[in-house]
Amino acid sequence: MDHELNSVWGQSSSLPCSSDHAQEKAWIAASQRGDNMAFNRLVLKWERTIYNVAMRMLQDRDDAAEAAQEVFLLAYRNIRRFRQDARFSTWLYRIAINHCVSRARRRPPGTHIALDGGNPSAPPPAQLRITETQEGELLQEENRSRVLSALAFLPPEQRAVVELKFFQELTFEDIAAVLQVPLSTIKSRLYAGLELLKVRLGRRA
Amino acid sequence: MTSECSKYEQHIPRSFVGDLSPGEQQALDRHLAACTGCRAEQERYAETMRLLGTADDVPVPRHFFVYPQERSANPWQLFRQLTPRWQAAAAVFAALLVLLSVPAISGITVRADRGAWTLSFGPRADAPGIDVAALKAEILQAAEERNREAAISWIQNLRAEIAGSRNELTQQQQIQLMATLTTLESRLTSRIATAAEDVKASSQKSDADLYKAVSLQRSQDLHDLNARVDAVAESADSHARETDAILETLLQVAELRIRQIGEQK
Repeated sequence: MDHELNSVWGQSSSLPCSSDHAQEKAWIAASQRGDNMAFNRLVLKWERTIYNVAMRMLQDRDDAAEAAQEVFLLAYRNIRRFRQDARFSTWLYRIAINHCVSRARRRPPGTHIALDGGNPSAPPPAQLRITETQEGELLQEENRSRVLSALAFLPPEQRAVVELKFFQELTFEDIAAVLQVPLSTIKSRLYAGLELLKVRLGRRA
Repeated sequence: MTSECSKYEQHIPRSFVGDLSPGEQQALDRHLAACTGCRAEQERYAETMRLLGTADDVPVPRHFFVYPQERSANPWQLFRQLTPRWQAAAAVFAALLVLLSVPAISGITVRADRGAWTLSFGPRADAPGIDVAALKAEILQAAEERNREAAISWIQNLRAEIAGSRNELTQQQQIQLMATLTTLESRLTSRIATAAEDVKASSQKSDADLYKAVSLQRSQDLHDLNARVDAVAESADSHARETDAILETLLQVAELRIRQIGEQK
């Protein structure tokens, strides 16, 4: 389906960096002029990233899909406020993290974790198809569930820093720019979050 | 575990994210080589990092699109979409609207009157009405009274002078003189009435201006009215002086006539 859509949109979602950046700027400029199709090209490029950010922040597939849709809608409505001298990724991460933190705060920690829910008749994720053995697939899924469960027990602010540092691989400075908090706060949140994760995940080591 | 362990335990997670200086990293490595407790702690962190790596990205369950009609938003979202300059303009406009609508709704009245500001609450009370017709009648009455008094005074003086010279006059002469005086009195009354009519016409002409002035500035109106009263009085005085001159002439004529009659006799 990805391949079909990419051919429809005439653009691969994994472009080389240089042309990718120029193309992204062009799409942003067109979106700011009201071009809905250009914005949907941006969505197509960033949907996997934003969905997975939401997935690790909210630990629920339906919640994550709903949050991702809302994030893109917020971005769509505010695209004229985006300044081209800033990085689009920073701006989009900020919207996504703020939205997910806001959603996460509305529910008690550790609840609404539905990692293997969804439609039973749906095909298994593509990631499982590429694992070599059935045991490996099961182990991978179990570990993934453990990580998401452990993340659910972190305060949303710490979860956001762990997400941006380990999964999005941003620098401390970039994380501070996304969350708009001091560098020292970023680091203290990260190490406090890692300490909690170690207690829940490092127990079997 | 030594006393240094607590310091190195803090350095262990920092080493996983490259947040140690080369010197700190070397010191940590040396300590880990010698401290089994801290090495176990490092292994727990290493396992945590390894597990975190298993929760990498998965494919999206569906594609996310936005549609042109979704750009419309509620007023607050529309406000947030504006540039800061337009947001400031919209805020100023809204504040003005509130400032204007609050007095209209609550009945607050702000009024400037010759440099003094007055703030009043509730429905606006109408200014007490001024009976212009009564005021005009009063002015006319005052002017007429002054005219009448002056005329009567002159008539009385004239009668007194005639009475003083009565002994020297014959009866016929007295009758003629009295007739002349009656005619004079009649003319005088007529003249007073004419003067009153003139005053009345003058007052009617300025009714509109007078009413407007009274409504706007009460004290100024009183001043104007006083000025008018003075003007009317001046007019009455003028008429009185004219009457004096006529009476003087008539008296001279009467005396001349009396002398001629006396000489004829």
